[in-house]
Amino acid sequence: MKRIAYLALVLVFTSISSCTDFLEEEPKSLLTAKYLETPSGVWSALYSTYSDLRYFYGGESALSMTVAGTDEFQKGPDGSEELNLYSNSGLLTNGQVSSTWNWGYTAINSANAVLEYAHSSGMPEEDADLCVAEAKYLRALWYFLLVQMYGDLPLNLEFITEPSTEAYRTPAAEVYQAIVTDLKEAIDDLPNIAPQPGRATAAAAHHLLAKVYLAKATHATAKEDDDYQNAFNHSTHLIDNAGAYGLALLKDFADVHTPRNEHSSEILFTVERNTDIVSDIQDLCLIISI
Amino acid sequence: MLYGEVTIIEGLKNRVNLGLDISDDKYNNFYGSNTPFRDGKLNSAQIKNSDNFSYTLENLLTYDKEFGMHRLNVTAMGSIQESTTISSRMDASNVPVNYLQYYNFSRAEDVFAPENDNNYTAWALASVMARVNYVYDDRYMLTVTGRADGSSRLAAGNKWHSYPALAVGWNIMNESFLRDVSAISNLKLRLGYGQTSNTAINPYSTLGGLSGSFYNFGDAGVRGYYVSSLPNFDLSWEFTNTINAGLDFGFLKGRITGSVDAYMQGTNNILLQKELPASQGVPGAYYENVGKTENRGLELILNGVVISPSSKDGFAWELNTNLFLNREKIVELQDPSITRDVGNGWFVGYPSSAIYDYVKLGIWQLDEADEAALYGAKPGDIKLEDFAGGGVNGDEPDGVITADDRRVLGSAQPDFQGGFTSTFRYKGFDLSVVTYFRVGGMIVSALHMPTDYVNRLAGRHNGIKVDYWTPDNPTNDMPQPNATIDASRTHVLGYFDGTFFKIRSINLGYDLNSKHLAFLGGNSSLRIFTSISDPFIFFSPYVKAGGVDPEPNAVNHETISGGEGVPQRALKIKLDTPPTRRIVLGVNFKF
Repeated sequence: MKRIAYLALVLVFTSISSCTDFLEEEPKSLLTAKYLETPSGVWSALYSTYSDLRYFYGGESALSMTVAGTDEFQKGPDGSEELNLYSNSGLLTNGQVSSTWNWGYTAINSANAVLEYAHSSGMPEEDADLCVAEAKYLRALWYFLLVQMYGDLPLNLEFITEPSTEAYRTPAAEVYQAIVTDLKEAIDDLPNIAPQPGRATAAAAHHLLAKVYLAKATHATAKEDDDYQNAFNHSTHLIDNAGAYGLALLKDFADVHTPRNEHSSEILFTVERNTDIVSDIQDLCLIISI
Repeated sequence: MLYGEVTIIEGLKNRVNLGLDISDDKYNNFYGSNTPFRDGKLNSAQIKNSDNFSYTLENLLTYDKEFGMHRLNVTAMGSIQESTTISSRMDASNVPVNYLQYYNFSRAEDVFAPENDNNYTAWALASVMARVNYVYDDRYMLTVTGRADGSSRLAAGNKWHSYPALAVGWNIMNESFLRDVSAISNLKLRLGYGQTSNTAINPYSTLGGLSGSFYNFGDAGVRGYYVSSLPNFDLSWEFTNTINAGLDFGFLKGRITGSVDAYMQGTNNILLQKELPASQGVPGAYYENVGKTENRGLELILNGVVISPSSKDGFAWELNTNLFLNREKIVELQDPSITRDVGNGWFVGYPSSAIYDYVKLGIWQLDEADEAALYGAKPGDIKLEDFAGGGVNGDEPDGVITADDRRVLGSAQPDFQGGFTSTFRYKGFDLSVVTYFRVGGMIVSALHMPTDYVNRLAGRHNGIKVDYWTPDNPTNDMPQPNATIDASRTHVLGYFDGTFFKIRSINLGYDLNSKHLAFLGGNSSLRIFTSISDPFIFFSPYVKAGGVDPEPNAVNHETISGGEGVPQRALKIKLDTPPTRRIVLGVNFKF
């Protein structure tokens, strides 16, 4: 009996002395940020960056946030009309204003994860280059959307791994610089023709860069003398080399907007929607066209 | 529960306790297409399992020793506790025929594993403790405890927290100078300091995590993952320091006994969730050790034998009273620089159950129609105080009722509470009256808020009886009945002073003298009794306003619908659990 007691004593105290293991957490049903350091994790972060575009282009945000109140767009079936009516009450609580900001930064952080881990993940070098180029295109697209709508804003170019409650706004001019840098680097590694519908291409990057220069050219603090020239260069490059990029104007201009014709030769970049969805309206891809 | 105990040498004992808990839950269901659950949509089925295994293992070593005037008791303890839950769930829809139900998912058209309920969750706690209890001459008592707890839920490096406790007692009664004082029968002073701690957060909260998203390139579906919560490498224990002092006393050979206790608690490093700036790109909140609260309280118990029976069957009257109060306040919030967190209903300097809402001045009357119109109201509507939003500092009226026109109106915390119990005995009869009272504190009555249909005074069903405004009845109590009243600003109608004095129960019993039952055998007894619970409520402003019972029935229950203002922690009176009054008649017969 005594022996058993001693044994129990030894057992309990040894188990406590090895408590470092006993108290260690093993998250068996959770994915943590560690996963993003693996090849499939890098891809998943890239896909998530694409997916977040739906928060802007999928609903009415893209129209409400950019052209509401103009003759292009007033309001749609989601019923929000604060932006359309220029009402002074809504900006802080408007779901489109906050959702664009919130998901924009989530997408940017996912793109940063791709940039951080692609080359160290062990994925083939050409895959890593492609992932990095697509992530840069998407990060530039998001920053371009955000800087036009919100002006000076926090510029995160590093993947965030630790919480911080501080945020500082970076001048818009620097944000534009970062966008231009990203797009220039992306163009080099992006394919001319997308391997799958909806993936970023060099053509889309040229087009976006031309738009960025145009927007920058009229910005009070960001503008530079050669902005218009650069916009012209990238645009004409795209027009002159349309064939190399698999692009051509459609015969009938109206066909650009024909449902289910989103992957035609006139389309540069699409935000994809699943074709399983019942409603035809939700089916439409949003199109950035020439 | 299993245990083994062995005496190693005299006075030294070793005891091992083992507790096991195993549970297995299954929740499977099937909803046919034409049931209210699916309402004509495709049928659906679900299989859900959850298994839990947990155990506690404690090893206790105790040593007792007496030598001369000294008494020593030493305890050492080591314990571990572990709990593992594995749950899984699959959902299916479009099952081809109803009789398949959830028995064969391979035949269902769509099967998927939802993000919820597919989990592996494990947590562990480890503790070591040592306590020395020393008594000298039954006069001086000292207890010293050292304890360390380790929790798996906290960040590496901060998993362990150790804390001391100290208690001293002085049995003044046993001092020589009091031994001959016959008026005092008991006198004991206690002082204590201790710490308790809390690790009540979900396992894996410090690790951060990813959430999933879906996308497709043409017809090819892909899954994405993004960071939805960040790790916290510093998360540590929340702990509470408590200081208490108490005095136990007895006078006149024990006819008057009682105790006074005072305590002060300070809770630090409270485990709270904090939102990150959205520009961090991580939508989920993360846990931090932030904030401080403070509790101070006083408890008084006094028991007296008012009339001591002269004989066994004589008249006896005993009175027990207790009185207690507690003052809670928030000392510091997430960030020392902020003094209020409206979203959570936390305000520095106020209890965590603070009620923050508009101030009701009354009802707009007919002769105030012009002024009411400025606020978009009309006679018969609720008149709210406009005190903020205007002026340079925003502390002057601005002619609109906005969210700024809210202030802390009160809280669930009463000024003090207590009760009396009176017991009478005469011959075989005994009668006891139990009372309870509360002074102050604010209660929230959902009944009086037009968010509930009972007080909208519309429709062809009964409403509660309230003094409502009509052009002929210019009351300031309740607004004009209005089926479409804007419910977001009508909580103010449901705040009441929580004061009341309540007869909790009256109990009357009679024990038949056992000699009349002797023919049934030696141990027979017969008792007849009756009791009534909650028969009378006095001094309650809430009862005067038409309420039935001022004691809340919905603490931490669902929130009241229709807007902010009422915190989870408020004392709420709702409709779902009606107050009851119970009368019991009984016979207890033993033979």
